[in-house]
Amino acid sequence: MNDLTAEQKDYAIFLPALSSFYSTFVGKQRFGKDYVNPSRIPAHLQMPDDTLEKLNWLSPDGVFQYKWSLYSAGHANLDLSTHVEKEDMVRNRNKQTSLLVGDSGGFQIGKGVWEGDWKDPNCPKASKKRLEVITWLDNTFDYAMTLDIPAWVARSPAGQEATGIRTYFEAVEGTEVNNDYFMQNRNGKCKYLNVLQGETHTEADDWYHRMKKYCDPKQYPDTHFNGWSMGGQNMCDVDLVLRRLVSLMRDGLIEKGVHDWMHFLGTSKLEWALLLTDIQRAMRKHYNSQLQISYDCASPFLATANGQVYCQVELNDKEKWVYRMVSSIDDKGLAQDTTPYSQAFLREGKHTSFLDSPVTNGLLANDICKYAPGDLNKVGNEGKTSWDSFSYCLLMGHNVWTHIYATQEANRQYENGIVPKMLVSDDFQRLAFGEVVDEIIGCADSDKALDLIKEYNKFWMNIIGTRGATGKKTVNATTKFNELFTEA
Amino acid sequence: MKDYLQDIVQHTYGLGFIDLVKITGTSEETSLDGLAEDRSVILKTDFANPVPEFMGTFGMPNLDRLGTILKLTVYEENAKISINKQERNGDDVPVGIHFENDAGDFENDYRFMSSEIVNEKLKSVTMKSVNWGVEFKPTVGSVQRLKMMISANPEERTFTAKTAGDDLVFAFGDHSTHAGEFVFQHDVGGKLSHAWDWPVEQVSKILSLSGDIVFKFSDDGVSEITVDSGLATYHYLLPAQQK
Repeated sequence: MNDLTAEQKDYAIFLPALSSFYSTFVGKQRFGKDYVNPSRIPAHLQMPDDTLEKLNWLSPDGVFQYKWSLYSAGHANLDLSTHVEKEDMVRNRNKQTSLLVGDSGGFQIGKGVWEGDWKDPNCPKASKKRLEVITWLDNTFDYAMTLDIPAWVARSPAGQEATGIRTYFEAVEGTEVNNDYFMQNRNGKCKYLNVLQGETHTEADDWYHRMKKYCDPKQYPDTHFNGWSMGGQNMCDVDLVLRRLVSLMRDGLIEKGVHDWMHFLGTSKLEWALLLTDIQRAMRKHYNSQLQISYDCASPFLATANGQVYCQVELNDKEKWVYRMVSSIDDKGLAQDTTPYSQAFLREGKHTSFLDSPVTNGLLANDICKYAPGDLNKVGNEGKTSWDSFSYCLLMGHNVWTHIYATQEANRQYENGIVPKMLVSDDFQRLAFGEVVDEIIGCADSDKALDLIKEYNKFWMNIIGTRGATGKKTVNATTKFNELFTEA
Repeated sequence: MKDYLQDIVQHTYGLGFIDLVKITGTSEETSLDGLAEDRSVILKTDFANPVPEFMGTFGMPNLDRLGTILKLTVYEENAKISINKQERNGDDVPVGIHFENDAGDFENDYRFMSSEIVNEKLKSVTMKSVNWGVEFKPTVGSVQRLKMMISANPEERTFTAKTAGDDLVFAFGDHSTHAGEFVFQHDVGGKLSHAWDWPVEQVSKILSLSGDIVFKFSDDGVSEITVDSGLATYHYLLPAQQK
């Protein structure tokens, strides 16, 4: 299955959070052709011009094609005034065959990597970074996140130290400064997604009420933001997601042709690929026929960095759905082994099955296990691993394909009536997530919709999100603690 | 000394959700502060009398370890328990507890956390002023009825407290699940207009402690269970649970 764009149908779109380590291979190899020695490139991935375009899924030349990805400012060179080879996969992509969503780097502010007084519109450090980010986003992406300062910065000592932001309200204040700047300075080439944060329902509601104006065409006819991005508790708590959608419909802020994109940040649970499709279908059916929902995660890249390879997708009825990842083969003794990678993987007992991708189909064991005993790596040391850096790149490509395939195959099975345990309840009466969501979104009266959401309170608590307070932990003491107690 | 240590462990780590406490002692008074990691319980404690060994500010971490040492049979009789001190900035400050058995051939040292570290890890928590709508002394029978209801609703992590007439009613579950409710206390002499949710495990465990217990609820969204062990009065403050 090579054309994953064609397989996407009307599913919520998974955006691989493209690693700069990976894109550097594709970008640099376009220049000089020796970032990876052409003899190192497996035969099925070779191009006549020795580039690595076969590994570029955004290109028609890719060994598989997939139109969509996300790329973050946090890892990128933002200076568009200089030519940067390693950024070329992103900067010089084929815009006819790709759609790229930019992440603004709010995470870097939260972690204290981007220093500055972000509450001060005139702070030189913060102002310089704001300009860099908006210039880069405006001229590189189709859609991008606004530059939010996540509410969790209040729990990040490094973030507090570097940004001077110590409370939720200061995070709000800093985000408002950034949003105002983006509205006044955007060039119109990129559509912006208004990031919603907040670590509890109370904070998330407050954040929404403060930030919703930035999406309001009545207040900002020419510069309003163009959609929404769900962060914090908004991206992991179905109850809150549905409440927010009801609010958006009630407030007229998720309108056809005006706000057509909603992104969920950092979402890796396979079940969410389905529930977001359910939500998208309900929204398209009842309210905004053009709404596109997307979600991203970096799991395919992070897994590889930890030596893990995706090997199987498990989609059994009424069970937990997963993409299985295990340790890959990594053995200097296999440096001369020309067994197909998948066979070597099984032979070495890594797992009982291996789902080949267009990247691994043609790959040999010694394409991954490159270093033999005694071989020195590129910094002149003999390391423990048999992998060279291109081994990581190859398996990242495989992991990306498998993750995308998993989200699509999960949707296909779901359409066939195979359902993960998380999205159905038959304890007392049968509840199917898609049907319940359709009922809620289809409610003409927002108060009735909210009542329905409350009615299914226990059902939402069975749906686990990627991080934050999810499932039963969505009910906790945080809100009242923050309201009634002070820590000093 | 051993009695104080056992009392502290029983009322903190023994509950299962507080593993670090901060002691602040002067010649006039001794106090103890603790906080559950998930903020579900804030503990403030006043000792009935100043504890002379607990001078200054220090942390008691890994209370499970202290609990284990206190239960060792070698220390059951005639154990020598003393506070280790070190000079810091001209002051003798407590740095740990030394345990030695009667024969002098078995010993343990439990290490305190320095004031700098404990002040960083366990910040001082202050509660805003609230109005207590209901205040009463729960009976042993009430606590037993609570445990019965918990056993019938083991999947519930929270329960709702509300007043019905003069009675305080606890409710478990809702219309979509198995459910149950019961009168926890008759004639509580107050009103609750807001039915907040409270954590089952924490409330149940605190109410199971021995000592004189007073239970308070506020419509503002906080409850307090006070346990007087004789050696100290432990104030457990519980923020209401919500999404």
